[in-house]
Amino acid sequence: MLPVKASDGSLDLLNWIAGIPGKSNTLWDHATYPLTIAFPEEYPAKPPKVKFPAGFYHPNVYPSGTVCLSILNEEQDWRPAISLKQILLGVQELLNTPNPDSPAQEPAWRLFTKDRLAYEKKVREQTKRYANPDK
Amino acid sequence: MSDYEFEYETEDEYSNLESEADSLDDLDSEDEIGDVLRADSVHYSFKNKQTAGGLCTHRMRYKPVEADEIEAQLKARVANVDTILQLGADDCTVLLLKYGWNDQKLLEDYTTQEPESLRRECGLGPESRVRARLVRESEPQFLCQICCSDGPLYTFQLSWCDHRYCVDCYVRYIRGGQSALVKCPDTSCALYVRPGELEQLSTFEEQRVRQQEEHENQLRKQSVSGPLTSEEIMAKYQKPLVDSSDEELDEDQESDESAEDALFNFHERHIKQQRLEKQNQRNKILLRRYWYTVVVQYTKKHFKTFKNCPAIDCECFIEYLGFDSDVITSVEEYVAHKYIPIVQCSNGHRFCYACLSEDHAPATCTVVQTWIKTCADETETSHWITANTKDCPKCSSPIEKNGGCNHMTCGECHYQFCWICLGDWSRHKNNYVCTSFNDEESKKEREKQETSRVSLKRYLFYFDLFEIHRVSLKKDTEFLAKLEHRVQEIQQRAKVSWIEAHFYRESIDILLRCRITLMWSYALMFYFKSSAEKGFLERTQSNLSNHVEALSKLFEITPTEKVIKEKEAFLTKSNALKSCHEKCIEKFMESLVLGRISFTSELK
Repeated sequence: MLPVKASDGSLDLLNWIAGIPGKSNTLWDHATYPLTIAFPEEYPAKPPKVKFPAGFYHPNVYPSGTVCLSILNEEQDWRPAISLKQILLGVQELLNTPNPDSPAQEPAWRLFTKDRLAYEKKVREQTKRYANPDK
Repeated sequence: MSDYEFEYETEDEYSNLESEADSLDDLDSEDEIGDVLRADSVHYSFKNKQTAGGLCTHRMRYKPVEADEIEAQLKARVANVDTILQLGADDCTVLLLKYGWNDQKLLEDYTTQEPESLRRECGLGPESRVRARLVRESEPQFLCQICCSDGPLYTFQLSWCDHRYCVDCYVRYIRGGQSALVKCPDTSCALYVRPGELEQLSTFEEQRVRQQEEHENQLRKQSVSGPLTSEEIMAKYQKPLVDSSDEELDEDQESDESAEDALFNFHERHIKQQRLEKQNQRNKILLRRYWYTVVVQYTKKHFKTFKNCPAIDCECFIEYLGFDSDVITSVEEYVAHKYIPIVQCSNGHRFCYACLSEDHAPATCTVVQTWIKTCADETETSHWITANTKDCPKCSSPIEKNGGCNHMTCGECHYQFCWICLGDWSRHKNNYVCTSFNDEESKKEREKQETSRVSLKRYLFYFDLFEIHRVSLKKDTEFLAKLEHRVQEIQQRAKVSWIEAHFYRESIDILLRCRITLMWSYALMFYFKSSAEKGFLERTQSNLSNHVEALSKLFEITPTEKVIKEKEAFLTKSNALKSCHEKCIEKFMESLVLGRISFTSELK
């Protein structure tokens, strides 16, 4: 995890990029999912905006890629003492344990609740796209 | 936790708090309420109980209130609950906030459920006390878990948890919250920040800011004798340049001021100043901000009884108190009977309690909404259409002739006709000279076209009248604001008391108010079918219009320096206008409520 580097080599401390490894022994294993974290000026009074690439396949990720997680929502469970580590662990946890009660995109949510096998197939396709390079 | 001790508030402070709560409670007793009701704090949406024609006005009772007054009301309710639960105002505030101010439900739950678990669910600690000294200086090895600054720092924590953070982070966190209920910054902690705890943080922060300001002021004073900063040098050397052209400067200032005047009259500017002061206070003092948030949340939840004034930036509220009626019980019913609940906030803004748009009497809310929609749809387009097009005699789609001969073929239905006489083209031989203009058939076509355009013309007729008054309203507002400013100056110079010159303000007020009434009465007229009643209303309307123009003219012809001497004339004219306005509104109300007038099909 590191801040974005501008073309002149300076660091943009308000925009970070990160990679979330899928938990081992889950559908999401053997891949690293790219994540951008945008901090508002008011951070940590306000939560950062955490985004996967647009179109990321997961029931709790909006079509824009924004992650829907209660600890990242100012009106819900955001507290200024939440650390970046906690956020990333939260997002990693969310990958394999989606919350069907707060869907953020229709296709993934529909398959997740109606046809689990098809859902898993789609996830595996995505895993392949972000697969870790073989050592 | 164990390595430091909490100091508890002394008994004295406690009893003080309680006696305060008691006095608030006293306010709530019935005698007091009776007194308040008897006083003139109750306002009515209409002046009289009955119109001159004997119609009951069922007027709405209301009270213009400001945030501070609602805050006092809420604090009284907290104290009320506290006398029963004996938990202290802090806990009762949090409990009531959690219960959305439903005290009955709270009392019921508190007596039927186990208090321990209910307290925990509502984010309260095991005991209700607020510990003294929540703001403390930390030991050197302290590290704030939010900003990672290390000690020694001033830290803050709640009474029942040991999550200490530096004061800066805590303040920023509470400022960022949109709700009054804010939890401890720690993820695992469910405790809410209580007003008593917030007070300590607020006081500390206020003092610190004040000290900082004083310190900066001192620095500035010291630096006067020291070397000049580049800004000071700039200021010093730019000034004489401007001073040398004194006249220019004065002119500049004047034009600046008059630009301001165009926007605000004296009264409005005063209101703005007060508002900014309050906002400033709220930004500075956390506790003030807290209670303001509580009030705003409360009024939003109880939107049926409280309405925020819709005027831009106005922070006043209207509290609904019911109707002066045995028949009407709700705003919806009142509006359904074609009454208009116009209320006025403490800052003097008049608006409709039902639809929250500016004063629109005598037009009803439905008329206003339909009219605004019609205007948005039709104004510009329809003007152009009437001026530049004719309708196809067969399918009535509008056609623009952009050149060529008189032989027209409709693009929609392909009907062929003559542009001049609108008759069938088959009877025409020459492409440029129409010979059948006087034929019976083509005459009929033209008549048909006429009637289809009558409705549009009728609309444009009323729209123009509406526009004329809207524009004069705007112009009058600007003109009178400027004039008032000058009169105020003269008044001060001539040492005339404010009361003496008050007639002027009132005359302006009634003039502008009548312009609004006239404006909306024209919109209303458009939807009336012609009848004897309509003719009668039109006469009332033109009577009002004459009075308005008379007063407007007086303003125009009276030289500024003579305004105060002409008090008599202004009073006569504005009183005549006032009574005429009242009559006019009553007449319209009677016609509408008693159903003496029928509406055209344009009003859906």
